[in-house]
Amino acid sequence: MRMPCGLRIVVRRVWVFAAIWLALSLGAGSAAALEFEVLLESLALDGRREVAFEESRFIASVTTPIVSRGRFIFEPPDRLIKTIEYPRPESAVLEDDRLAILDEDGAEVASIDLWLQPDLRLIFASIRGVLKGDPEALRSLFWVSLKGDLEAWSLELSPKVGEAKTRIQRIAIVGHAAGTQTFEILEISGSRSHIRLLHDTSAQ
Amino acid sequence: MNVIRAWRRLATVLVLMAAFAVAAFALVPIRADVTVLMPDRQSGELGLLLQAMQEGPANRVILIALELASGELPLKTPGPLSRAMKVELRNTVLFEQILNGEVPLDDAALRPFFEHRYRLNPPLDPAGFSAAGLRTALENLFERLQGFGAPLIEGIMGADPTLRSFNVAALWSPTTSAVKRQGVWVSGDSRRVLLLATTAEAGFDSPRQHATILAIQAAAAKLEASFGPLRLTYSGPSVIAVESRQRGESESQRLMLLSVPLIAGILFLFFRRLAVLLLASLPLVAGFLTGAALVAAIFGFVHVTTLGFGAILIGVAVDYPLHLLAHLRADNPARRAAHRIWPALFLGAATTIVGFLPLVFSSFPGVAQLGVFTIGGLAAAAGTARWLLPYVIPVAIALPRPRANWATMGLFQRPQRLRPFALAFGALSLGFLMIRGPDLWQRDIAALSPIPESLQAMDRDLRRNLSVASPRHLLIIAGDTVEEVLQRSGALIPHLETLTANGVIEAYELAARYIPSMAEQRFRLAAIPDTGALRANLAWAQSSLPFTSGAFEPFLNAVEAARLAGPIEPADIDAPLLRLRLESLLLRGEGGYRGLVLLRGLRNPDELREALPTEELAGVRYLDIKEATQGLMDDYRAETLLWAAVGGGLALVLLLAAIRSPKGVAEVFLPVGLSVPITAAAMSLTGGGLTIFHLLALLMVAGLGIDYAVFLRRSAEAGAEEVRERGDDLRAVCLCALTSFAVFALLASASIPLLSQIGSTVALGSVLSFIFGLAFAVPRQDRSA
Repeated sequence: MRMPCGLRIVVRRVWVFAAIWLALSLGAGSAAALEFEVLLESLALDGRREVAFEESRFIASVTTPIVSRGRFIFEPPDRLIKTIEYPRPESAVLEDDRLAILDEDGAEVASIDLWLQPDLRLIFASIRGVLKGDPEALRSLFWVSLKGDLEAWSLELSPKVGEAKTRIQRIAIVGHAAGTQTFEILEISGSRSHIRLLHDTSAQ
Repeated sequence: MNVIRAWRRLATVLVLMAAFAVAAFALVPIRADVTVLMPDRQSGELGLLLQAMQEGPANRVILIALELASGELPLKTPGPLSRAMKVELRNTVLFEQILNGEVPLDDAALRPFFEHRYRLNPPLDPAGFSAAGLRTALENLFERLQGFGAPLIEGIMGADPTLRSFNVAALWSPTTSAVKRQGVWVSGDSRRVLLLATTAEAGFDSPRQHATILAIQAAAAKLEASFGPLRLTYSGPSVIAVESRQRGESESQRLMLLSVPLIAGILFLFFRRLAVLLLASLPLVAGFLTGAALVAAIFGFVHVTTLGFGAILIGVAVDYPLHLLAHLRADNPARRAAHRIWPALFLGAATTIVGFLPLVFSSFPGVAQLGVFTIGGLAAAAGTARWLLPYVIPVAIALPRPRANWATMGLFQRPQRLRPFALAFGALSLGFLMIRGPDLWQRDIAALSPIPESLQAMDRDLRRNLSVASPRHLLIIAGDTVEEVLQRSGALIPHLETLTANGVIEAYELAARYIPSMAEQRFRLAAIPDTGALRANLAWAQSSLPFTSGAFEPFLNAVEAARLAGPIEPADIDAPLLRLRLESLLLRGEGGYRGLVLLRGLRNPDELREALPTEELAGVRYLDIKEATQGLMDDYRAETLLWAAVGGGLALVLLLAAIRSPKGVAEVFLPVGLSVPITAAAMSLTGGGLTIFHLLALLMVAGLGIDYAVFLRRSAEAGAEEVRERGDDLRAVCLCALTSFAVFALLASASIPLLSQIGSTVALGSVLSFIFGLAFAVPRQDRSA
């Protein structure tokens, strides 16, 4: 018998809390700090996830934020779809390290090899890593530093590759137990992007 | 003592020949390019074009198709399969470019177009620089910044807010209408993924292309680990070239392996000594080397076809040592035998040489080389048989004598009964050949292709799926300078557009599609408003848009810089991909440049010819490469035929001078004069048309026939007291005819048209020549009968 999805999440969270409680009760010195693996474990979900987003991008030559809205869809094991609904419908599928840009009919019009666009690669890796709850994927690309607890945390990702390879300075992610997360992507040039994952629609 | 000395001499001669051969082939340049085969008068234009086609990108393209061996329909993962293949192919570093239908969006791909964006096509619209035009462009820019192209656009927007770089780049993307799934090209039935790989090496650099094909096979094999068993197909001019070479080689090797024991068996049957094989090959080897050396000395190089066809034409030289060996008797040692048969051997060789002499004067360097090679080769072979061979034949070789005297065998009695049949068939054949006239000849070069129809069909299929331009139909634009070619191309483009719109062609490709003439560039740059006006237009355009002031300062500078720097020429472009594309479409020739217009999906060449007002368009001409090469082949054939006819006449004169009796001349000449047309008629009836290879084979038949007839006549002329000499002559000619027939009958079994045509022609011709020789050379004592 398969457990219903929601129930499974509850069971898993109970186990996570139990583990933390056990660590605390044993009086381990660093137990108060939230473990990166534990956080990611708590974010991990089996199955497909779909979240709405709103992105505001601030660049030097444009005085107002450049706003776009749409959805991120994560399909296990590794597929990430970004659909822009406003202002102009467009979507892209990330598989492996290739971003395929699709037109409204779903036909591929162009593709981006993320090895040639390291900035995009880092941004998509951070989003996919968080949605998937994959600590290893994040650790392989970033230095991580985590603050807060499971109720409210903030995760800072600094690219392991040097300035010569990427314009991304760091990606700061702020999250709440309720499920909303905000990605703040800072570039060396001073440009930045603000991506808010509005609500998790997959659990319903 | 003598025996050992003779063997030592033989060994010395062999070593010397081997050394000569090594030296000759190390020193003599061997060429395989097409231009050498062109007649002198045409080597300019068509030669240049054919050379360009051979080395050009059209011939460096390999069409590759991959499908699951299970034949899954449609393919579930065309994208990953195609991309994995692309990566594997890229890792081989053998390819300059690999296309699979993907449109990459990255800085590196855009850079070259960005650099020359105000001078390359598409045309600059001055309205785009007006205030209203810029407003539209900036609105579009803002919208694009919200999409996936944003990272790329942010990098160039300051200098290129109208995003012209993208429009320029779009023009250069591959012009194909192939079906795409998951972003990659697939066949119409979605069963196969399709890729186009352009090799870095010239199309007909055969050994390297072979390595390339192996690399493609290895790449596909690697993918099987993740995709399961795959079926790989590939095609393209270079693939076909490699395939035909391989087939030719493997077929030749197979025939060689079979023919050596066959000849050895026949010779052993006659002489019971294996050393005979070695001795018999000496004149041929000497002839081949001399022929090659003579050609090299006169022309400075040897063409591959000269060696190949030359080796066939001097094949008659195998007969020379056989005549000598068949005459060896205890009372007739080698030197005496050589001396005694020399008049006949000389007459046969000299007649053949005189027959080939006119080929030397051909305006086709290829034919002329063949003439020189054959003359030198035959002379050397005859000389070797006369002077060198007796010197190295061990005295004690004491070949066994035949048990019976062949002259008295029933088989050879009263052959003159065959004369009426021979004459009747000869007359019929001559009549047939005359009536058919030019229709005798196979005009379609494709029929000569060693490539089986299945491979040709696959090439057509892949080409159709990928909509790749066929390299057959071209428009040529001539001009003194690149600029002139580009200007004339510019005038042609509107007509090409009309042709495309009317469906006469699907698409076209020419250099001017990418880069306009300098005059045109100057004109376009002059239409852009000056910096002051442009700044004002820009200020108005961005007034209600959220761009910071000064955001587009790099744009103003770039436009100003382009205007100041003026136009560019194709040679000013450094980006390899762009440069190669332009170079392949603009050829430098004698006294100027040629622009090529490649046509895709040409419906009907006549429609094109009619629709194109070539008289208005200076320097523009239509060329059908296939038609042109066929015309060339026709000329080649006609010229060979003409000089061969002159040679036949000269040979007749020589025979008259030597034999001095019309009856005697008829005895030698009629067998050849009948066997050649009968063979030609038979080949034309069975093979769907004669080719240049039939013609060369017929020349060889003539050489063989003369040789047989001369010796059969010698046999016939011998007095009754020389019955043994007569028997030896007869035996020698039988042996010659039998070996020729055996070797060429074997060649006739080849699957390659070239080899089988030569084989069947010579096999039939040698038998007919032998029979007719017998029929017309009637022994003196029988004549009263």
